[in-house]
Amino acid sequence: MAAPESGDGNNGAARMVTLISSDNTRFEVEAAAASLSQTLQLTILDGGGGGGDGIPLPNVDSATLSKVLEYCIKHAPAAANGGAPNATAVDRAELERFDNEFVNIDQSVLYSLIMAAHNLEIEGLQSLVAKKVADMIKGKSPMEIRRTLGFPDPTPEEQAEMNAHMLEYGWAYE
Amino acid sequence: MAASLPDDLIPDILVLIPPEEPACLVLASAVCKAWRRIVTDPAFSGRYRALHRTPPMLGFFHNPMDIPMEDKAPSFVPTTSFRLPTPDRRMRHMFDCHHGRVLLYNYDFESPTQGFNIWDPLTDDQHIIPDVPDMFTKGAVVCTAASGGCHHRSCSAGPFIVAFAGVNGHGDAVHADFYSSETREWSLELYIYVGDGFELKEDRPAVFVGDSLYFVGTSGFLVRYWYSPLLRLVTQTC
Repeated sequence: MAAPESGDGNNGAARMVTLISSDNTRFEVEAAAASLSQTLQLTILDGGGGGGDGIPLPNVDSATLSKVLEYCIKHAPAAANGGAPNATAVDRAELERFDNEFVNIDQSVLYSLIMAAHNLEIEGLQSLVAKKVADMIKGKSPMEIRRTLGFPDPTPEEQAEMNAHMLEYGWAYE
Repeated sequence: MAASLPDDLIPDILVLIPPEEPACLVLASAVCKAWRRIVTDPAFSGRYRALHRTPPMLGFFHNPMDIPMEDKAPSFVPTTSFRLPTPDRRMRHMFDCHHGRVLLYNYDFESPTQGFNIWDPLTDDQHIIPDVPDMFTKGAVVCTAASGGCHHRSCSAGPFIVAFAGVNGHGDAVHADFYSSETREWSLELYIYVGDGFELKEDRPAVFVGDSLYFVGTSGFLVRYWYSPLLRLVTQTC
């Protein structure tokens, strides 16, 4: 649990902030969790997002924001410990299990998460989703990568370039 | 709902492709022009190397035995799906391999590169080592970038030396010398007395430990070849 914050007139309880998604859904979360976002951190430090105000996030829809916050809430305690140097192996294994489950999602949700993690600058989430996409690319041919990532079919010129590239560098793999 | 990945996030993804199978990155570079630009950007390679630290072992070379000389070629035994651009090195004997370079002896007297060569197996660049004295029977190639502070992750185009050692006709002194790729010249020759009957062991490549090369000799002797900042020779019993 995050340490109580002063200055919010809410002694004993963790300070809460409100985030508003692009489709106007309000999410109330602990400031410590929302502060995993570098973008939000300064606003929150300045006392923003409390009371009835809320911080609008015009680029993040409610489905994505709820997923992002699920990540932040889970990772906030470890982050508050400065990357959890004294976390037990069990804690770390639990976070790893959570992360693996967390990215086991539809590609469209994954892409929305990538955008959101980037816009909100949540470092851990950015690496987690980027790693997931890297794993999806691993071991695939260029055509398979294009299909996996939802690229449009290559134009004849692009196809010719791909063929030429494979011809030139085909020696590098079987 | 985002349907595609924004271009500026692609480098963050590609940098996480694990290095154990280098073909993955090569295949990714064929996906489209934008990806090719990313993967071939020196800034990207620098970031990739910094992140993944220890480069993977792609394979190893060995000199086949019991094969007629004209067919002899050090073979590259891949340990990943990676293959060499030009694996054919007929009539050559491999002496050493360090920091991405191979020291070969080319037996083919009709070849313009007859003699000792340094070969970069990834780029197929060759560097002829001229005028190697007959006495030198052992050689090793090592990187000399950044005066020993190099991580050997991107020094394949950088400076190197080829350290040579050999025993004189009486078998009582080890001679050493090195050739520098920067000056394209030989160093002064040093020698050290080791007592009678000394030999450097055949087919034992020099081992690079810390800042020195160690050549393995008979009777439990190691010859420590310390080339930085000046060439020094020390014998040690092992």
